[in-house]
This record gives sequence, structure tokens and C-alpha cells, in this order.
Amino acid sequence: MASSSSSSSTQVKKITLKAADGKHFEVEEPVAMEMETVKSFFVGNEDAMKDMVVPLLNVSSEHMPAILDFYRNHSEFRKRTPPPPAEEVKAFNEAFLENKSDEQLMEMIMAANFLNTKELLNFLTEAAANRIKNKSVEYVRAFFGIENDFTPEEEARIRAENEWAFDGLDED
Amino acid sequence: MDATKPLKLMKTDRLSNLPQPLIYIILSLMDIKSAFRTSLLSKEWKFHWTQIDSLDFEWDENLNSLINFVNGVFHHPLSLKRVRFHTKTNNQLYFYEKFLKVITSYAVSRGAEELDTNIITTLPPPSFGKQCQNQLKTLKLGPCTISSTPTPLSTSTTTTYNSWNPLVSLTTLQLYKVKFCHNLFDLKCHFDFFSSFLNLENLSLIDCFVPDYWEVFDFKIHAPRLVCLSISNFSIYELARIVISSTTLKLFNLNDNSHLPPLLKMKNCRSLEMVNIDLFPPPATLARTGTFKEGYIYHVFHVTEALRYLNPLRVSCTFPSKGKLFLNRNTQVANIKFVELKVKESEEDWLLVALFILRGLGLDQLAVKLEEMSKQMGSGDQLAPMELQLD
Repeated sequence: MASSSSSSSTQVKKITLKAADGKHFEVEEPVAMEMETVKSFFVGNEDAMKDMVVPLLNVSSEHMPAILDFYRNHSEFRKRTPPPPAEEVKAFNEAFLENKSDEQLMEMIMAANFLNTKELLNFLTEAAANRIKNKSVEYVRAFFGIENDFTPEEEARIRAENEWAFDGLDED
Repeated sequence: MDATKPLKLMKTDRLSNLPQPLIYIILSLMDIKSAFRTSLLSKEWKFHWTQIDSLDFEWDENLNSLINFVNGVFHHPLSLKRVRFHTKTNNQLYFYEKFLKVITSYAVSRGAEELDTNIITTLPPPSFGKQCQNQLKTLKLGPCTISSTPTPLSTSTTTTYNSWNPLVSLTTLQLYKVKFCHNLFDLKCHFDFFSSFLNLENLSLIDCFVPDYWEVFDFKIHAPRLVCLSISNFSIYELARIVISSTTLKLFNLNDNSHLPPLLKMKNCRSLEMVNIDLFPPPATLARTGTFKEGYIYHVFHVTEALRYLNPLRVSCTFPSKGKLFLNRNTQVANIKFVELKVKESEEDWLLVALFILRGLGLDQLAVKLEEMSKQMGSGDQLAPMELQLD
């Protein structure tokens, strides 16, 4: 198996990314190019030199290490032959989401959206959906941070009219 | 620093920062009940759920909830890519067939390209109308019965059966617990269900069967654009063969946990890049000594005989409590036919299986790794692969 290639990293070019709060991150070129936003900064932009710093306006430095870790691991999963067992990918993904608050998850979704990487965005939006499906209205309100502007009467009426959607909820 | 401001804002009011397209994506990943309930979050959210592109309804068999779901959802002008309607029941109710039509025509009228349903019916294909035939790309069906009539063009002495209304636009078809049969009582016949699916690329048959009173000769699979074929636990008359004929096929997976894996015949599969065969004989097959075990071995030999000339190949055979046989023929290096056997216990029976299979493969070289054995012998290292020369 020719997978772990950490020893050959001396050859790999690095690209510097600047998070929203000004912190710099040195990232191997192939990993940086996983982000469409970074890629489009260079591709078709004659003036862009590889040593330029790419500003990432919507990504907090708090999330950069985790996001880069996701790219590194998933691009390794994709390249590996034979493909990694499903349990290994699942274990990585679960560990990735562990200890992430709802708020952090939302921020990372925003970041993935800004970086324009489908794989990460799909993964995170699915994680968000899993956290709120089969949950009560109150729970979901708290998750999205929404203020309820229905009167109690209005809310009761909508519930009564749509009973089919309100049975069989999970515990919050 | 100016750049920190948007982040601080985001923490106090997440909602206003999450763009609506992202909200729609998240809602589309949930079942329709959960998505619909968000209409109660606030007035702004009242109609967010109507932007979902995937409708997933899991029905609990309560007729009222079905009616209310239809009333609550169907009149909204949703624009859908995917409709999934599953029931938890194993019963077949009298109105199911009609309801499948309702769901199907609803899905199609809303623009859906994928339909996934487990409504049990006896005759699903004819209920797919003209519009379905040109629009659906992905169809997941079953359990149900697919039944066909003979084609007028059959020339041989045996009749070929095909033709359920072909869904021409379909690229992915998954059939689960589908019973294949035909309308006329003709015991000796060929089945050919997929050749009129002109754009089918992925076909997956899970727990499907042809009742064994049909002494089918060949079960043909040759959709003209097929790329990926997976067959798990296909049950068919034991002398029948699954005849796979496709010049475009790249990947073939066979998974079987019965005491009789189906016999295979591969024709014109020039583009094959990988064949994976995973066999899990049931404990009973091997627990009973004598004829059962030998029967299985003999049968597996016949199954794999079809693969003799295929270069890309991985065969694994997992025996209950007796380790795993793993054969891998490398496609990258031409002319070298290499097989690795991962042996967990030095069990005679399945070395016998191995040799049977190997004979069917036409191999030059064989490496055997005895993993477990080396541990038992007390040495931590693995034994070096032994190389055997086959006739």
C-alpha cells in the first residue's frame, strides 16, 4: 500500500492562507487547491504568484486546523487503493464532529460555503440535518437561534392543522 | 481589527448569517416531517420548507396521517429532484398499487428525477407512464414482482422474455427483493429484463429472485451502457446462469451468503476494470460434513469458472469461524496472474476450495499467506508468502 506520504513533503510547495482574523496558515499546495475559492484565486489569474497570501475573509482561524485536517484526510482516502474501509472514513468523520458545538458547526458550514468545497459542505450540512431532524420545534429554534414571533394561538392552530408532522419526535 | 467583526456578529445572530440556500440544503437532507415542522419556527420560516428539493416521507401505516400529509404537502408548488416514500409495513394493502401511481405521478409532475419507494405491489412497471419514461434517472424499487410477456422476436426454441415498459432515461436502477417472473406458463425460458434500458449505467439487484419453478436457462443482463453491476443474494434455479454481456461494464460486484451462489457467464465484458466476489456460505453448509461442503466447493468452482479469462479480479470467501480466503489478481501488471490467499487457520477444507477456485482461474502463480498460523506457532512475524507452482 503506497498511502502515507508524509516523508516526501519537502518537495511540496506551500501556499499561505490568511484567515479572517489575520492569522496565517502555510498549507501544502494540493490541500489548498481542494478549496475552489483558493484555486480560482490562482487559476486564470496571471498576476497571482504562488507565494502570494490568499485572504479568506469568512473563515475564522479557529476552524482552519480542523478544516485543513478534513481536506488532508479525505484527499488521502480518495487516492488510496484499495479504497479505505467505510468504518475508517466513518470513524474519522465522527471524531471530526465530536466536541463541535452547534454554533461551531454553523460557522464551519459558512466557511465551507465560502471556500466552495462540495465535499466538506455536504458533510457538514448533513451533520446539521442529523442534529435537528426528529427534534421538537423548540429545539430547532434554539439550534438556529430563532426568535419565535407566532402568538401562542397561531402556533396552536398550525400544530392542530398539521398533526401528521408532529408525532413521533425524539427527546431533545 | 476590522476582520473580527463579522465573526462576532455571527455568534450573536447565527440565523441572519446562514444564507437561505444553505438553509434549503439542510432542510432537503431531512425527512418531510422534520422539514415541515420548521414552518413553525417563526413567520420568516413559514415557507422555507417549500424550497426543499428532496421529499422523504416515512409512512407509519396510519391512514389519517397519510391523508393529512398529502393534503398538507401536495398543494404546495414544490420543485423536487428526489422523492422517497417508504412504508414500515410488510403488508400489501389493496390500495397500494393505486397509491404508487399517485406518488409516481406526483413526483414526476414536480420534476423529480429520482424515485425511491418500497410500496409493495405486484405489477409496478406498467404503472410508470410516458412522462416517467423520459424523466426518471434513478429508480429504487421493491419489494415487488416484475412480470413480463414474451417478445415476438424470439427465434430459438426457448422463448425470451423481456419488456416491462422500459424507462429510457433511467441511469440508475436498484431493485430490492424483487421477484422476476413472466405471465405465460412456459417453464423453459430466458429472462431479459434490462436490455431495453438504453441509458442504464448502474444496476443493483439486492435479494432478488426468480422462483425456482421457472427452470430459467439464462437470466440475461445486458443493458447497452451498463457500467456498474452489483448483485447480492440472487436466488434462481440452480442450473440457471446469470449471463452478463456488456462491452461497457467496468465494475462487477457479487455478494452471496446462500449455500448456492448463482452461476455466472461473462460475455464481451471488454472494459471490466474490477470484479469483486464476496462469498459467505451459511454455517449450516459447512457444519454438515460430506456432501454439503463438497457441493459448495464444487459449485463455487463453477461460479468462478466463468471468470477464468478476466484479468481484474478479487474473490473473497469468508467461512464462518474458519477464516477468509482472499484472491486478488492484479490488473496493473499484464501477464502476471497473482493470487494471495489470506489464511487464518490451516483448514484443509477451504484450501480445497481455494484450489478448486484457482483451477478455474487459470493462474500461473500462487502465494499463500498463513497469518493466524504463524501466531499460533508463537512467532510474532508473518510467514513469508509461499509460492506454489500450479500445473
